[in-house]
Amino acid sequence: MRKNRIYKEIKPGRKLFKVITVKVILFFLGRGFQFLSKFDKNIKNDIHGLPEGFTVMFKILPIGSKMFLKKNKKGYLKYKGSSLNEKTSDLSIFFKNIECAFLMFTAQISSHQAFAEHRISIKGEISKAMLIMRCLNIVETYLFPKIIAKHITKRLPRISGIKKQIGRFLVYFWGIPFGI
Amino acid sequence: MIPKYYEFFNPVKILSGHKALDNIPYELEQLGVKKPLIITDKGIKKAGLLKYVKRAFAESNTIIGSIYDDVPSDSSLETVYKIVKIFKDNSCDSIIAVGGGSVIDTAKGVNILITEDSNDLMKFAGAEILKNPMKPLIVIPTTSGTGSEVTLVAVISDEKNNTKMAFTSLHLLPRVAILDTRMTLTLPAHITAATGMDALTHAIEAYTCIQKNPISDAHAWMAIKLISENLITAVKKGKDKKARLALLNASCMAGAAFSNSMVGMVHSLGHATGGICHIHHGVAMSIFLPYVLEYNLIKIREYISELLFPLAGNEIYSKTSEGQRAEKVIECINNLRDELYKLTKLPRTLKEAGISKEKIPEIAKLAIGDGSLTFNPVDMDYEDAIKVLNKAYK
Ligand SMILES: [Fe+2]
Repeated sequence: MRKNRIYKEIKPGRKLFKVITVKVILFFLGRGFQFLSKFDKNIKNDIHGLPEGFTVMFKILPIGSKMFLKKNKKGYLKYKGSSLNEKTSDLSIFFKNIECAFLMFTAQISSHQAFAEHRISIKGEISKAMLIMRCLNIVETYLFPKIIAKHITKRLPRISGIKKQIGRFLVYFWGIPFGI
Repeated sequence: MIPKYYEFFNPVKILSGHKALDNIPYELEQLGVKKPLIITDKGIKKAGLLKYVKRAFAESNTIIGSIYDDVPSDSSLETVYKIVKIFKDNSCDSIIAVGGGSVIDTAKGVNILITEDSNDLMKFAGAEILKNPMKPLIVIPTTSGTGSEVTLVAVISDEKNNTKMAFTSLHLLPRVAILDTRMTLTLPAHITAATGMDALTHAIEAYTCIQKNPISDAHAWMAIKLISENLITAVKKGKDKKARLALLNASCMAGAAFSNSMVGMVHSLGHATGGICHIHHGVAMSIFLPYVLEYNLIKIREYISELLFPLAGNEIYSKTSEGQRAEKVIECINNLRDELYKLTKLPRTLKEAGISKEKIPEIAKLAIGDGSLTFNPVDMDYEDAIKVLNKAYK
């Protein structure tokens, strides 16, 4: 038997691949959200009732990335990156861990499933959070090819193929790169 | 079938029996508290139910901090603030809620403010966001419907802003639920019927919605069996202790089931109808239940079929061929509704509930935005909602 074995603390490891992937996707989703909140009729309808200045935060618990969207004067959601103060958000949507954020942002599970499985916690009005998450699913159907998005499209409004292709083209070559 | 991932949590200690209340002082001592505030409403005071609670304290050294008996039928923000003040002024250390859904929700709201030491309840709205353990809450249900004694949710309405805020947190769960028959013996027949149908809906929706899981299924299954065996008896013979205790147990189990597995489209339609036409929640559940099962049939025939066993018993289950069981379940529920209509005039359609047809578009609009729709196995858009509502009208 070894003598004087030292019992050290174990620091939490990293999941760099997932952290970086989620960060990148958050940027795409944020810019995509902004563009599609002007382009897609369903999203426009859904966010119509939110007051001007309404701020939504997505954050990955406990120490992960965050992303803000803010409704501006013109009535669409502006992507604000992580530039705002957490305290100013009217609605905060927290993902309980990086794995669950990864599943959601890569469209492997839908928002309603994430809710049902208690993977998300919410500060603010739950009904508004449901609405935003539904919009997020719509944004994902534009961003991801059908084969990936198949888990989440089941309960979404049918968007015609051509419209989705045009939307997808515009999001990738116009909305996201230029922050329109 | 076991889902890929699920959570189930029910830490509530349950005492069930004809005189289960007598254990209150012991339970308080176990919780390390000495001075509970009792929260209740006028109807319960009038029915003389508080005397059982007060008598349970006799020959103990526990003082009742005070009794607030003026909770309105819709739990309100203002009431919460009033009660918080009484709690602090009388230096209470725990809460006993005696009542139905609105009393229990109010008590949960009070508990949030006391724990967070705040005077703005709306700051804490949301799902699974509260972090601090709360004051011990003991719940004594006086109806057998909502199951709020074992749920982690509270809904409080803000009259000034005309909204309803929802709070869900595992910390909101009561520490003890006391199911004492004496508290429901005097419940009128029509309320017994309506609340019983609410509990039945909780169990059926928990069993058929997207987060069903083996543990909540077991709770839902037994709740359905107890309700189908005892609801009519309790409606006919209010003083039947056995039937009353069975229903209290059933609504408690159904509560534990749906608090974890959530409810679906019956509640979406019911919340919307209640919000616009102000009908009793249980009445709305009873009206929509068979129509929603029909609507969901294409996706969950298997689960609905399984429910024939607890709902109708062994004999009918084995006599009915596999392909016909789901339809038979709907038939059984319709028969139950017919019988309740005969006994208490419990409405079976929107028309019987006195709702005008013009309201249907408004109800449909509100229903498709309701949160519980998220958990329904089949989605519903505006046109679908109109179709179901029209069916439920005639
Ligand atoms: Fe209910």
